[in-house]
Amino acid sequence: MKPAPLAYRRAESVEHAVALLGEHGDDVRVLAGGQSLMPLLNMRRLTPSMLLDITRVPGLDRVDGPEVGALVTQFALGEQPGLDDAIGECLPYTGHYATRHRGTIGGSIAFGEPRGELPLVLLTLGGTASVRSVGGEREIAAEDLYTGAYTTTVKTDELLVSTRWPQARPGEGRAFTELAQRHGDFTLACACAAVTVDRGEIVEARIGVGAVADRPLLVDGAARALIGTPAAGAGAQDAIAAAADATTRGIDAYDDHHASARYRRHLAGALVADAARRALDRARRA
Amino acid sequence: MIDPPIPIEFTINGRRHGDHVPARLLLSDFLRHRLGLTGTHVGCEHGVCGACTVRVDGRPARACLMLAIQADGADVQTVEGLAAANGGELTELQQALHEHHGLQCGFCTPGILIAATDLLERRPDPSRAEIEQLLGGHICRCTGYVPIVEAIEQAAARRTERAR
Repeated sequence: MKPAPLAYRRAESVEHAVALLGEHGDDVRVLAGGQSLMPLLNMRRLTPSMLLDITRVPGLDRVDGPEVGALVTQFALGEQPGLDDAIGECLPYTGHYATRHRGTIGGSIAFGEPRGELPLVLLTLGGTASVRSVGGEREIAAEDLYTGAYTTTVKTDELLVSTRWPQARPGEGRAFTELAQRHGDFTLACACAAVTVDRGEIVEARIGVGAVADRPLLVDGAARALIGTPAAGAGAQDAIAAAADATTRGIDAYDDHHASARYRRHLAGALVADAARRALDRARRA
Repeated sequence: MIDPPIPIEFTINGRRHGDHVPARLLLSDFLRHRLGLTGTHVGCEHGVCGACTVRVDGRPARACLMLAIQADGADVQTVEGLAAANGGELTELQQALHEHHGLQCGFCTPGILIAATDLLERRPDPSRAEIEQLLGGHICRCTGYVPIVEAIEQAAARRTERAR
């Protein structure tokens, strides 16, 4: 199908974009890479009266340490030297080779796809998003970003301009993993783990799962199962098993034609075990 | 409220072209219906099948997930431009697909050619896993993919050999 009739504006700068959003906000969709938005326009699931194309706004395509400009593509971020382990592991699952060349990091975060890999990683790493409006700029913690499927706390007059992905500290290891029916398809479930080890003990842990609810979730029970346990040996194995169990028991998940809720819960637990094990391995070496 | 056709100018397979397009016109429809470049195939029209993959400013892009107006000022390459840029001869990859029977009905082929051409330019010696991941974004219902993987591997090997 084809998009419904719409007006098109090309933003020349961030200021220009937020001015247009301030004026027309309610019925505008921001067009970045378009890899999630365009399918919905083609299927007429969305019929905004105006598209605001920000792809030519200068300055939003830079990576500066943990700060990633909204227009940095998924492919370009994947090419960054010294990329974080969890981000590096999640990007190859984010769409397909061709879509990663256009799909943007800012778009992935702002779109709020509940099965999206990048929103889960941003949440698990404790990242933030910077949004700007005519009134100024503010930062939103990933934990406060999603209110449901495809809905965020970014207001209609605000533009997401960058995201911040905190770098691993000494003793911290991270990992991401997922299962999809075909590589690059929407995931059945995905998991991300960040574990910090100090003097042979797990002192901090964040465990997140995606595609099991209307937004990515932090599983506090899984993190608690890890914290305070030995970083190696049988104690660590038991803690990882307990974290997986806490995940399976701690989430609701849902049925669809790809998988039952019961299977998704099982899968989320198994993926958490895998991510936690690899994050812990890295933490011991970090 | 709705904008009238907007002027655009861009390069298509090395040729300059100017036109007027309504904002909502997809690049895939523009290429096929206005320019007659029917080598760009339209399968699913929501970015899943990969048949409409073209290159825009040297990067692969689903033509069904782009508006024609977004190509304004860009350099667009379609499957027709591959042999055209190779003196009218099939490229090594096209030749390899032919030799390995990497196509039957040919519907998926243009998208695979563009994406794999791009991959080989960035990764002259891709691993089998990288090739398989690339093909995850292109649905082929004839070949079972194995001959396509082999053709891409052969094209990569021939290139590497030639570069020596």
